[in-house]
Amino acid sequence: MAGGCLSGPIPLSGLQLGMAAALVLVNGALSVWLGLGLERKLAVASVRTVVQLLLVGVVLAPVFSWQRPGPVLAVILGMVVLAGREAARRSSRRYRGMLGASVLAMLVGAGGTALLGVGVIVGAEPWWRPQYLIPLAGMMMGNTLTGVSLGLDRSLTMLDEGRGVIEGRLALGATWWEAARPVASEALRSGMVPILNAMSVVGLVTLPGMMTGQILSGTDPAIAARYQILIMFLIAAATALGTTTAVLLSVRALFDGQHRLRPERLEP
Amino acid sequence: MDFAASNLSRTIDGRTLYTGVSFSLAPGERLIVQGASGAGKSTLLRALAWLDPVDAGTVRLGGHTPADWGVPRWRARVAYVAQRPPAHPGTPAETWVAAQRYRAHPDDVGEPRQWLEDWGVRAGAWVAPWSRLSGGEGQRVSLALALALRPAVLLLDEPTSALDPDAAARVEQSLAVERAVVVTHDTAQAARLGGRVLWLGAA
Repeated sequence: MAGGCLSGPIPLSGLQLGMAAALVLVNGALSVWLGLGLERKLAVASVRTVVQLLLVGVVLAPVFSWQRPGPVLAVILGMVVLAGREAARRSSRRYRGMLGASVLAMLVGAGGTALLGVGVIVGAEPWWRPQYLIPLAGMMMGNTLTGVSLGLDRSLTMLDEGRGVIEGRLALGATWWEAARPVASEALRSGMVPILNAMSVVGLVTLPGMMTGQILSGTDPAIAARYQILIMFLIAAATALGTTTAVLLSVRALFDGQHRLRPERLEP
Repeated sequence: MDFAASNLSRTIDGRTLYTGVSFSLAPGERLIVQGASGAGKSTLLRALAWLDPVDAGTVRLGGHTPADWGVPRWRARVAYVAQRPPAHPGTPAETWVAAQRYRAHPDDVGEPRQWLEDWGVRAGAWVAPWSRLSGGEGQRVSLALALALRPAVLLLDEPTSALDPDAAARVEQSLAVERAVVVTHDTAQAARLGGRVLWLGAA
C-alpha cells in the first residue's frame, strides 16, 4: 500500500449500503408527497449507480490482481471511448465525424495526461501500475469530459448562430482561422470555466473526492493534500489539452478547404 | 483586369438556383442582377465572393481563379457586402483594426470614414457598437469598409435597402465609378446605376 497508510477503511456490508439507500427512499417519498414527479428519475439513477459501480468493481478486481499492462491499458482505452461518446452526446449540436474527434480529444487530453502524470511525474513502478493509473485516469476523464462537451457546445453554437459575423470577417479577407479564432478562444474559455472555478475554491468549500478517499483509507492528510494538488494541475492540463483539441477539430470541420463556412455540415 | 464568370451553376435540394451564368465585366462597369425573391440572386453573389460553393463553372479576375489568387486575397479584391450588416462584436473602428491584421489585407487601403463623411453618416457611428447602429448606418458602414479595401469588384446585395431616397442617391454617386455586381429590386436604381441586367429565375 501507499506510504503513510495507517489503517484500511472499514469494509461496508450490504446492510450498510441499504441504510444509505433508505435515505434516497425518503427523498422518493417526499417527491411523491409533494407531487414533484422526480421519483422515477431518482429510482433509475439509484439503480444505475448501484449497477454501474458494482460492475466497475467486478471488472477492475481482476485487472488489479493480474498486474499486467494489457488489461490496464484496455480499461483506460474503454474509458476514453465512453467519455468521448458522452462528451459528444452532451453537445446540443453535432457534426459528422464529431464522435471520432471527441474520442481523440479524450485520448490526447485525459489519456495522455494520466500516463504522463503516473509514469513521469509520480514515477510509479511500473508506469502502468493500475492502483495509480486507473483512478487518476478516471478523474482526468470526468473533468476533461465536462470541458470538451462545454467547449464543443459553445464553438458549434457560435459557428451556427454567428454565421453572419464570421462571413463578414471572411468577406474582409480573413482566412478561415482569422475568422474563427474568436470563436475558438471563447469556446476554450467556456470549457475551462468549471476547472478554474474548482481550483479557486478547492479545500475551502469542497473537499475533493480523491483527497476524501485517501483520508478515509488512513493516509496522512498532508500527503493527501499533495496528491490533490498534483491532481488539480493534471486535471487542468488534461481539460485544456482535451478541450483545445475538440474545439480546433470542430472549427476546422465546419470550414472547407477554400475558407468557406459550411453550416450545412451540422446535423439537424 | 477583367472580371468574368463562366457557366456558373448551383442546384440545392433538386432546385436549380442558377445555371449557365456567364458574364464579363470591365473596370467601371456594372451588372444588375434581378429576379423574383428566392431566385438565387444572393446565392449567386455569395458564390462570386467564393463564400458559397458552385456545382459547376468558374470565376476569374485578371484570368485567375479564387484558388489561384488564394481565397482570402480574392475576397479582399472581390468585396462582398451582405444586405444586412453582420452583428460584429465591438465597433466598426475595431472591426477595421482587426481586418488590417489579416494576412490578405491589401497594403493600399482607403479610409472608411471618408465615405461615411461623404454620405452624411454621423461621425459617432464609427466608434459606436455595431448593435447600436441604425439599419441605414450599419448598411453604409459595411459598404464603406468594403470600399476602403479598394477592391477590383464590389458585390452588393440590395446596397441601399435601408436608406431613404436622399441617402441612397449619395451612395449611388459613389458607386457610379465602381465596377460592381448589384442585386436590386429597385428598377429605378438599376437604371440610375446603369449597366447590363442579368435576370435570374423563371427559367
